[in-house]
Amino acid sequence: MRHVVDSWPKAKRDQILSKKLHHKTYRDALSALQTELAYSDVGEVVVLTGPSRGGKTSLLNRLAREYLDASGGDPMLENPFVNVLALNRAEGGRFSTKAFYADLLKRLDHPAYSTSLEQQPARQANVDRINRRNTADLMVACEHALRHLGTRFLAIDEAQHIEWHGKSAHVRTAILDSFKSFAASAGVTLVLTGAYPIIRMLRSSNHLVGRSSVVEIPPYGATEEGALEFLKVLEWYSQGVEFEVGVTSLTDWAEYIHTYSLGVVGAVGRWLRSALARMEAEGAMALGWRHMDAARRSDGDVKAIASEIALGQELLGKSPEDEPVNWDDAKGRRESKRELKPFEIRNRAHKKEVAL
Amino acid sequence: MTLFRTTPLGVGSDGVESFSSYIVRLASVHGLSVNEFRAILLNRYLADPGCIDERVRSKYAIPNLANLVRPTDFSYQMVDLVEMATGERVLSLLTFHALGNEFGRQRAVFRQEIAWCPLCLSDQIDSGQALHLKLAWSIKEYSVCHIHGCLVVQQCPACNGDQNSLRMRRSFGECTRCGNSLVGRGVFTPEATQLRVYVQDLIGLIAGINENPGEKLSYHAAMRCLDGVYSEIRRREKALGLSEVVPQDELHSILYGTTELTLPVLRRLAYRLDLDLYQLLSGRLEPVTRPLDESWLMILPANLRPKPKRPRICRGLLLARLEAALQRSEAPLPLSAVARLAGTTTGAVEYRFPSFARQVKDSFRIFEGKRRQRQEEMGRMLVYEFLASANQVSRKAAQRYVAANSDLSKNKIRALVSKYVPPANQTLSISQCGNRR
Repeated sequence: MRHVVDSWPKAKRDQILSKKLHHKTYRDALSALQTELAYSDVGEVVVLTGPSRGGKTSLLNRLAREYLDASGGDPMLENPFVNVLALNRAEGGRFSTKAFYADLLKRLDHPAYSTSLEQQPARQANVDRINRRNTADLMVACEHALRHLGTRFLAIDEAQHIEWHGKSAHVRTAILDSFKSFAASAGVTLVLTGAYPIIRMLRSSNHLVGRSSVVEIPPYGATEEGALEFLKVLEWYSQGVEFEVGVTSLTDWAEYIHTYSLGVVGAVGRWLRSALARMEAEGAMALGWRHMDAARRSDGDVKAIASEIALGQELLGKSPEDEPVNWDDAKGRRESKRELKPFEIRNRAHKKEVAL
Repeated sequence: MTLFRTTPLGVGSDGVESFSSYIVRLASVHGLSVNEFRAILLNRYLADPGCIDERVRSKYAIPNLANLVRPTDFSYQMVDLVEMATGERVLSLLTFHALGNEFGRQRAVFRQEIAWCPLCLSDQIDSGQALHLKLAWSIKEYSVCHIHGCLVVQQCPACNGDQNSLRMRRSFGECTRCGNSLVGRGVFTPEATQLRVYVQDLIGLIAGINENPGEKLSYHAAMRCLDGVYSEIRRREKALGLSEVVPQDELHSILYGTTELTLPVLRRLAYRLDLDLYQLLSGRLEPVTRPLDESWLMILPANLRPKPKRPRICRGLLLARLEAALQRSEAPLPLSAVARLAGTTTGAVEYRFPSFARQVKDSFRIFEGKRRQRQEEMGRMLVYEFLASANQVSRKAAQRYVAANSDLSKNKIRALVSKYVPPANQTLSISQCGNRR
């Protein structure tokens, strides 16, 4: 019996970690992003945003895989979609542009600058070379490599980390503008990905606002349509899970789970894994309410996440607009004959012709 | 480690990219200068201990970018290294390695500078190709583009700078010195009558090298072919025609090997005999030639014409002319004047009649020495006269006096006066002047 308890939670854990659920908002965002990218031009910016654990990184990885497969599968020959993580590598957890370009070169497996080579002397030589170079040199190396590899899209994941540059807000704007210039000179479209604060950061640069479009992976709201889709998600997560007596599926706790996951699918998966861990630690054989409740986020955490989602909704919200008037009618109205003054004769010439 | 795969352009055609251009593009793709790129190759593929830190030192620097297409040891090593690093196995086709040491080591064959056709660069942009330099542009005698008919350019039209720089560059469309565009600029199309040059054989040679990878062209193969052709012509009793279209000295150089058989000479021979240059050099030529037509064979393009030879003259007749020239003047003449009067050159007289030349030079040297001695004597006497008669002695006045009474040059007068007339405020007597002599 112990063997059974050991087997299904781990299998479920592996399933949650390895398989990605292609739920509705994910599919919609994927479709929207693909279309946006197809219609985008060099030097433009497409922003992919959504709540944390909303599936943004999975979406980027999937796109990168699809583009690579379509181009032949060898990233050293052609790499149309490059995805790089913006890490805070500088001292004090700050963002550094030099470290970012070094990461990009590493991501490209650059023969002369990558620090992930297997050969120790060659790796050390590359590290030394990066240390000798300044940011502009690394930028040029990235630009040449991206052009050579035929890269069309450069995705920067966790782009909200740029905000932690540690200097003034002007520097942050300058970094974003430099990324835009870099994208234009490297012949790529920039895909900035991050949580909702990225929108606020983007708006600090007027150049980028004019050149950008936004694709969102929203959480499932408490609407009828959202509820239906969220129930499908919960059914998928319930597969292979053994529940306590009286519970058939996670859908039995749908409202409770929606409230504390805020409709974010990735958060449900994380919560379920945590609950499974508590169940296993307790030595229980089935998942029960107490495990789920013990694993749920604290009210403070939920409040913080909710405020971030509210911020996103506020930033991306649009004021309601009536359907535009028919411009043909308006044009007709503009050209309509004005009212004549007393004794005013309209079109004298016409009158004369008629008289004759 | 493998490098980014960069395909050489135009392989298998006459518009093949040069190895210099390929190396620059490859280094640029990797964000490196050319020398740094070479240091990486040496370090990683040859594990050269002297180049372990991949810093560029003079020992590891590329001496001349344009020379990478020549068959030198350095170029062979570079091709091997780059082939190892990129996996491209056709890089020797981007060079003139096929020409071998006999022809490929002749410095006169290749340019020392990077050259380009501005209109070909423009065409490359229009066709969406990466900008590159063609192999044909590295041949010295390829002075006019065979596609556009304009002169091949070696210097930036804006700053006159050459483009041999080894730094990393974005493309070949920009000057490495001033950054101005090189595409479509500096175009000069010579008129047909001004410069009619023939480069189709060079294009054929490059096409032949690219169509037959691995084949070596050699001096001996060309000799064998020409022997066969001559035998065939002799058999057809057309030897006389051949000797007229090919100058005698070139015939001798080929038949007896007395002078060096260079690529320009072979090009001229191939043109005149209507032979394919590549087939001639590869030794695959059939020993037959078309019937020789002197009417067009004698009209050579400007760049294929040999240097004009002086007509042969009779040795005795020349000596008689020289002696007659010597007799024209009573005073001995310099050798240059004698040679000019005889219608020849000083070098020719020294080479053909060394004893006569020595005799003329000696007699003129003696005559000149005596004349100078007389002049100096006369000048000295004039200075003495001036010192004896002048009320106020000054060097300026002495110079004026001597100049008025002689035809000595200004420099000679100045030397004499400074020797015998003291500076101002230091008047000497005649006896003192005599002592200073």
